[in-house]
Amino acid sequence: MKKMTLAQLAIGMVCMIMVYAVTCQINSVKINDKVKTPEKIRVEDLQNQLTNEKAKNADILSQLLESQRSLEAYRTEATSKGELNTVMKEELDKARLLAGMTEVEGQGVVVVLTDSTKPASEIQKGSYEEYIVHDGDLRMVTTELAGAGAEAMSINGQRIISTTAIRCVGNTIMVNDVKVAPPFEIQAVGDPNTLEAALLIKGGVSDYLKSWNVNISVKKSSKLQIPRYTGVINFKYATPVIEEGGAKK
Amino acid sequence: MIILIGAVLGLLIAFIAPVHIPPEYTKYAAIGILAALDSVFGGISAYCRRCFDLKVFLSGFLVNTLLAAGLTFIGSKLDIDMSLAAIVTFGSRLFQNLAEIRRYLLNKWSQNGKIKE
Repeated sequence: MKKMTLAQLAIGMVCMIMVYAVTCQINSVKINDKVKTPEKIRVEDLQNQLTNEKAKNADILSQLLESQRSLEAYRTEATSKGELNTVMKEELDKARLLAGMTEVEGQGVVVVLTDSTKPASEIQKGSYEEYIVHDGDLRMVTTELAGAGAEAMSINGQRIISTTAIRCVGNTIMVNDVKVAPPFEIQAVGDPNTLEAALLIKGGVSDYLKSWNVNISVKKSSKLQIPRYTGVINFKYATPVIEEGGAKK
Repeated sequence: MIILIGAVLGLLIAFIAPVHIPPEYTKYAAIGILAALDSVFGGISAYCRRCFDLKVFLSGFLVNTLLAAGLTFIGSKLDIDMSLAAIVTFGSRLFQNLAEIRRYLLNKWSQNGKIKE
């Protein structure tokens, strides 16, 4: 019986130590969960920053549109005052159209690119990235369309202009430094028949992309609306060459 | 009975003198606690089967607890999740011991005529 009481005592003691440890642990976990670890702080910080930046961006964009509207108003006023101004405004409007700073509409084609729908089981392991739409595929399509005489183009609402870059950043594609995601909708204003033919020509872009099981659809449209470029272009390094005599080349 | 007293005492001490475990050590403490839990139930089940050995019990409690925490630590250095091994081993033993205790209690009660076999 003596041995049994000793056993009971031992179990009791160990039980006490264990309960002590469990209680401390529970309390610690509770406290530690409240304490912000550096990673948690960083994520929260970044989220806040992102939200702030997004709000700022929206503000700046509306400001830009606002000031451009007032600029437009000044121009209209100025034109009403003279012949020379009218000519200048026409020139300016033409330049703005060419630069992609105005919303345009017209007939053209809509090209939609989506990642391959081939089941993963049929794709050789390690070659998955070959079955998704890449920046190069978008460049190929836009270049082909431009070659076929497209006058204005946009990818998922991002206007393609002379300084536009379509590039792969991490695992997303950026157009005009704005992230775009599949499905990629490329709108192009131009002669619908020519544009369509340029893509669907045998051995052309469409065939190439289809060989990777990338889904491409080309639809003609009688009326497309392509948004204007909303960014700001500032030329820091390029200046116009002025010929002797003062005339611009 | 003495188990309950021990548990209550442990709870009291924890409230009187709490020790804060830093976040990076809670993982090891958890594994250690699991080992301790296994020891306690192992002890009770052995006690029920009347083959309780004080030396085995105490050494098992100390060594298992430290070994489990230590192995987890070494595992984290080697990038192997050794805590899984500890969880599986102690977890299955815990259930086994609980089952034995349950059988012992059932037998005891059925002898008293509370449960008919």
